[in-house]
Amino acid sequence: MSDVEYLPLTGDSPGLRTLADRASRAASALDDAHAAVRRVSGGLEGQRSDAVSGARHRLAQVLERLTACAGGLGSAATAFGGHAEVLEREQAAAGHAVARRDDALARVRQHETLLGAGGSFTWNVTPGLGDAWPAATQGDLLAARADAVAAEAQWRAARDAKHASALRTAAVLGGLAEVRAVRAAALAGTSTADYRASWLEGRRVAALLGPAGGGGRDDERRLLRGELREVLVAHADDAVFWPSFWDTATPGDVYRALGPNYRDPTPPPDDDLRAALAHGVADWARTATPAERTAFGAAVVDGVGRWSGFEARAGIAAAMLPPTLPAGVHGGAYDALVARWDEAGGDLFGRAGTAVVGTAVAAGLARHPRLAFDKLAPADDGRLARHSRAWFGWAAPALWTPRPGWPDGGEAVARLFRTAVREGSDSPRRADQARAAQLVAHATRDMRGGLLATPVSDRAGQDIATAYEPYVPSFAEAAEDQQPGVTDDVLLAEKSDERPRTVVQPELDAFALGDVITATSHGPQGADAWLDGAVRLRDDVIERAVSGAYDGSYTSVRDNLGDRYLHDVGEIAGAMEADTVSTARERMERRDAVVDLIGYGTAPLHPAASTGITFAAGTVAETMPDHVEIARAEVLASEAEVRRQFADPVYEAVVEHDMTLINSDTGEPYTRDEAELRAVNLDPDSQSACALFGESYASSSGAGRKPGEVSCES
Amino acid sequence: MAHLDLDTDTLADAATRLRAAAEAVGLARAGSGTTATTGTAVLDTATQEFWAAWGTTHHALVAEVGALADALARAAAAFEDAERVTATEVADLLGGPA
Repeated sequence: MSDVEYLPLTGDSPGLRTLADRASRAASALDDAHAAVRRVSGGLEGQRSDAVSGARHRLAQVLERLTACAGGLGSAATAFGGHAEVLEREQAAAGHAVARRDDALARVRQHETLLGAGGSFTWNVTPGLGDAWPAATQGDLLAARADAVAAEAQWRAARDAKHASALRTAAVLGGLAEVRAVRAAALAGTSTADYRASWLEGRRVAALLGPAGGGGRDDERRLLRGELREVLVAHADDAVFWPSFWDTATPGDVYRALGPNYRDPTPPPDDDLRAALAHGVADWARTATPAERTAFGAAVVDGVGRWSGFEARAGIAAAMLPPTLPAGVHGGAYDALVARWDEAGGDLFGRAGTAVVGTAVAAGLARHPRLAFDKLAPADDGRLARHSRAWFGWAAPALWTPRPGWPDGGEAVARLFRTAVREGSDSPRRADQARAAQLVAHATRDMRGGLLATPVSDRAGQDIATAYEPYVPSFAEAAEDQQPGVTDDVLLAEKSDERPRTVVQPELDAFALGDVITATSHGPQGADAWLDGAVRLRDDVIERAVSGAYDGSYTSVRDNLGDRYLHDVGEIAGAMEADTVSTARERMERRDAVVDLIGYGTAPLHPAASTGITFAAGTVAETMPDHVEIARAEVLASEAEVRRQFADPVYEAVVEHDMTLINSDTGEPYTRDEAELRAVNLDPDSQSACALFGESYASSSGAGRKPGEVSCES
Repeated sequence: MAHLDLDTDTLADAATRLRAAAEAVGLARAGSGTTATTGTAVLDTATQEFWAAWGTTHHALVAEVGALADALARAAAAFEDAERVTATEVADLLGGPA
């Protein structure tokens, strides 16, 4: 809509006032709500608990948003209202000018008519009228013309004033339309008026990324890349700069401008620049919508690309994914990473280059349990298996470099696993529990050739062990089930006459489970975590055994409970000793290889000598110690002690409990001898206890049992 | 357990005011459809962009504020007969981030 000269100025000032009024009322309502929420928040001051912290955090988020939006709407209301006032005033001035001009033009026409009618007259000789009238008409005509010109100038002044006001208002709205910056300013405690400079600087620096990424002269580009690094570090804590920067920049732009470049010998981003990028993304993410966060996370991964230097770009990507980011960013990165790894297939080296990004994503996602669970354990089993393979079933290449494994010793991935499993197993929904159990079942099989194929840190071992804690009661069945899945818990409850299980249990591959326990119990924290699980199971068994539910004359049901317990803890204790036997076996295999090499490798060249050497080698081998036998003996020697550590407390608790019961035959409380007889199958040295514990212990430790060997003499 | 300086009126009042705020923001944006009112093309464009940009914020705000209002209203209803409420009881109903 544009104004036509000397017509009334366009514009609906009442409409603008209505708009301003509505925005103002909304701003006031937001302020009002802010005050009310603050009162609620104030009521929580000084209170401490997880629930209160969560509630306070939520209230703080809403308060921030209310402040930001009230500020934006209030400023818009002022802008609309101010322009409405100017528009109204200038419309009135223009209207007055139009009327004045119309009047002036009317007079001009009148005087011109008069003068035209007297065209035969000379200005100075008018018959009958003397000299005065024509002269007066001429003056009036000139005055009218001057009036018309002045009115036109007045109209133009009004139009220009209106236009100037419109430009000012547009500029204000343009700033406010950058909602992200307004929010950032509010969150950073910056006034709306002050944020503009930082916002413009963010845009300016973002515009440097293109030239710094390619094109132009090498020396100029190097200078630009240097300047870019400095300015980004300088703005590390500028909460308005980064939302503006990321509003136009993409991760791909940043990789090209800061990443490796064969014409620029500048080393990779240092710690300061990485920290600045991390802060920057966090500042931006606080102002972004959920969809923008997800898209950004995906762009961080996708922008890494597969061309030369992608390992260095992956390092920058990891810096841009600090764990404190909102969940959506890591969620988007997670999906993009899994898709990338799927596409990479057998390209293990390509995948190894992005392991650092995987670590960052896992660390971030592990801070958001529900999202971690939903991502890692989708309801569809095929997808769940795919995700398990992607995160736990991958081992770094080992062709000519030492196996590096995950760059952090598997800690982030292990924490992600623990978080997701905990979220599902703690859920009151059986469907969630089943998904968690399914994840554990798949991961148990995947980890032995992936995450645990290289040594993991003690902390990672602890997290993995802790994830299995709800499933220790399933270890007894593990030997029977070789396919990942979940058990029919109702059937289990009937079969074993136990209380219904509180958590859906997985079907675990016994051999894979043994490997998991072995690989994660090297360090003290990992070992303690497994033992803690066993101890909690022990305490649970004791609680149930003395609960009164098994106080009748027949103790076979209680014995079943003890049998299963001993089988479970035998599995854990044995697996924790498995390294002793497997290390000895590896030593023996290496020795046998050397003996084979000496005995047969030289035979074609020196048949006569080889016979002698073979004889000699055989002699040497026979005289060498049998490391496996030594290890077996060592492991089996400790079996009885370990068994008693787990079995004694249960046995003693049951005997003590039974001594409080009345023997129906005598009418007296059971004596100690009678109570011990009732609990004979729980006696750590009984044939039954020895056999049950010994079976799983010998199997999972790898020590095995030779014919004639028994776990203990009863 | 500590008692709060809160009563159900405070919780209900906060819920009411949040809902009023959400409604007012909605009305403000609803009125933005008549953008050809400024009399200048530049300002018309800026106005349209302003309201478009506020669209996302508006939806997020209304959703967030509405959810909190619901939670506060539930808390107010749950403790209607209680003279005072404990911090943890209120916090449990308010929960974590929406």
